[in-house]
Formats: sequence, C-alpha cells, structure tokens
Amino acid sequence: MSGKIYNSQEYIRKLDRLLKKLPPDERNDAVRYYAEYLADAGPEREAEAISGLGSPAQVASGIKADAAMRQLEEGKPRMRTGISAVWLAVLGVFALPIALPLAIAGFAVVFSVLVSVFAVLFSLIVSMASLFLSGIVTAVCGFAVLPQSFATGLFYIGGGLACTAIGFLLGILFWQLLRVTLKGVARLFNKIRYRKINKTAAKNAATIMPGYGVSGSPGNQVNPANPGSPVNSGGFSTQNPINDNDMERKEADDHE
Amino acid sequence: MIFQVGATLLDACVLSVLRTNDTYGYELTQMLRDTLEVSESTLYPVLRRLQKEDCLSTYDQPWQGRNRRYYTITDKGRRAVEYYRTAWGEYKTRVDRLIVGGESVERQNI
Repeated sequence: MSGKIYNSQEYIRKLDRLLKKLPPDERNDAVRYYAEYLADAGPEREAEAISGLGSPAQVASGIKADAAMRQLEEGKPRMRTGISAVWLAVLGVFALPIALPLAIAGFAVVFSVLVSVFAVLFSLIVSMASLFLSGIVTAVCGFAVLPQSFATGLFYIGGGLACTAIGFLLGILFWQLLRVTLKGVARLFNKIRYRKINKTAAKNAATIMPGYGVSGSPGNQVNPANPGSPVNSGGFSTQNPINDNDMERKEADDHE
Repeated sequence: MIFQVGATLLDACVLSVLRTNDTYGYELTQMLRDTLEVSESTLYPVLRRLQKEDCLSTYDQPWQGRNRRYYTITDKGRRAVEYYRTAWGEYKTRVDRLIVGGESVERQNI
C-alpha cells in the first residue's frame, strides 16, 4: 500500500525498527514470527507474501495495538501508577519535617530577592528624583546669589542645570530599563505557564494513547478459556486506514 | 466471503486446526485463508494472545538448517475448543433458522 517494495531482509529490519518501543520479549517474538513467515513462503513466493502482509507500518500497528490491549487487561500500568502514588504520599509525609523548613527557607529567599530588587529600584528612583530636584533648587539659589557674587551665582546655576539634566537623562534611561525588565519577566512567566499546560496535555494524550489503533471486533466477549477477562483482538486493525496514517505519523516522529 | 470474521471466531478456527495437528505460522495462515478471508498479518496477534492465555504453546524444530516454530494446543486450549464447538453449533442452528428458515416461510406465503 505504501509505494516501497521491500525484500525480506529490508522488511524485517524495518519491522524491527518500528517495534523498538515494545518490551524486548514481545518485539523479538514478533520479528521472529515474521522472519520465519517470509522464510517459509520461500524465495519464489516472497514478493507475494510481502505484498499480502501489507507495509511494515501496518503490521507493526497491529502488533502494537494488540500488545497495548493485553497490557491494559493485565492492569500492569494502572497498578504501577497506583503504587507509586501511595509511595509518593508516604514519602511526602516522612519528608515533611525537612521539606517544610526548606520550603520556608526557599520562600524567604525568594521574598528577600524580591525585596532587594524593589529596594534597588526605589533607591534609583529616589536618587534620580533628588538629582533632578536638587538641580532645580541649586539653580534657583544661583539666581538669588547672582546680584551678590556674579561668579558664584553662575557656578550654582550651571551646576544646578547640569544636575537636573543628568537626573532627567538618568530618568529616561531608567524608564527604558524598567520597561524591558518588566516585559522580560512577563514573558518568562508566560513561558513557564505554557510549558506546564503543554506538559499536562502531553500527559493526558499519553494516557489515552495505549488504546489507539484498536478497531473492528466488538469489545467484550467472554473467553471460555478465561472467563471474566474480555477478549480483544487488534487483528483487524491492519485493515484500518486511519490506523495506518497514525502509524506513518509515529514513524516520522521516530526519525526525528 | 462477505461475512466478517470476529476475534472469537478466529480463535475458534485457529484452535480447531491445532486440535488435529501442530503446525507453523505460514502453513496455518494458508490453511485459514483457504476458508476465511483474513489478511496475512491478522494471525500473529491472535497466536500471541492465545499463547499468553495458555491456550497454545510453541516448540522449535530444525528444518532446512534453521529452526521452525510450531504451535501446539494445550489442555486449556482443548477445553476452549470444546466450548467453541458447542457454541458454534448453537449459533449456526439459530442463524440457519433466521436465514434459511425465513426463506422457506416466505415461500409458503407466496
């Protein structure tokens, strides 16, 4: 169905690569089965057998879907997460005497950093403002002194105006600095928040994933050999085109 | 064949073939394909599952310089086959009654 024509060796190698996420025992068994299948077909019927099997991606999708179903039935993943959650809670309780002071210390550090940053900002504002204002005051004083001593007056006026100018320039510089800093902080927080959202989305997707690609046969049939456990088969999923697309996409991801 | 083959029917067919003699993947596939319209890659997941459920087991036998994996039915598999045979008998009779029986009723009305 996919355009490529494989020989047996290429076919098996490709299948092996596509199954690399399966447990080694499942993967080896499947690869061995198909290698043997093609060997038993013999050289003269090799091409026919390969086209009959469908693309390696289709075959791999069927195997993976079946393995995922079986794992789900055995309840392995659910058990494991359940236990780990309990352990995490126990660990949390035991860690409390250490974790709590640590948390307080961490909070204190963050708080002190914030306070010092604000203190620096505040002192900058104050010094800028004082430079500006004292410059004006000095200039005014200079005018007042002018009739008594022309040189002293000029000196005060000049000095005062220079102070005001420097204060004004610093103010502009500071304002630009503040804007850039605030923008940067806002962007940082946004990034953290988005990453968190993406992570939860990925997690949700992962919990849904194991069931993908199972199609066709009715869900719950009682198996006489093992009553109580539903029998499921991914056997027909290889005929499902949607499933196939899914696999192609996965495969592309693998090559990244 | 226009009727779709479900997972249970496939299980029943595979185990029934193995009830009479052990065989290997390729041959089993060809035997089933003589009767049922299943794709050639359908069988592996079925065999794997039946193996995991202890309905069949495997053994290797040398053949032409390599090992060939043969599938053989277990006791549990035999019990399953017995169950499938009765279930199939009942199912067949009921479907016959619907399809073939319905036809004869129609004929009588005409």
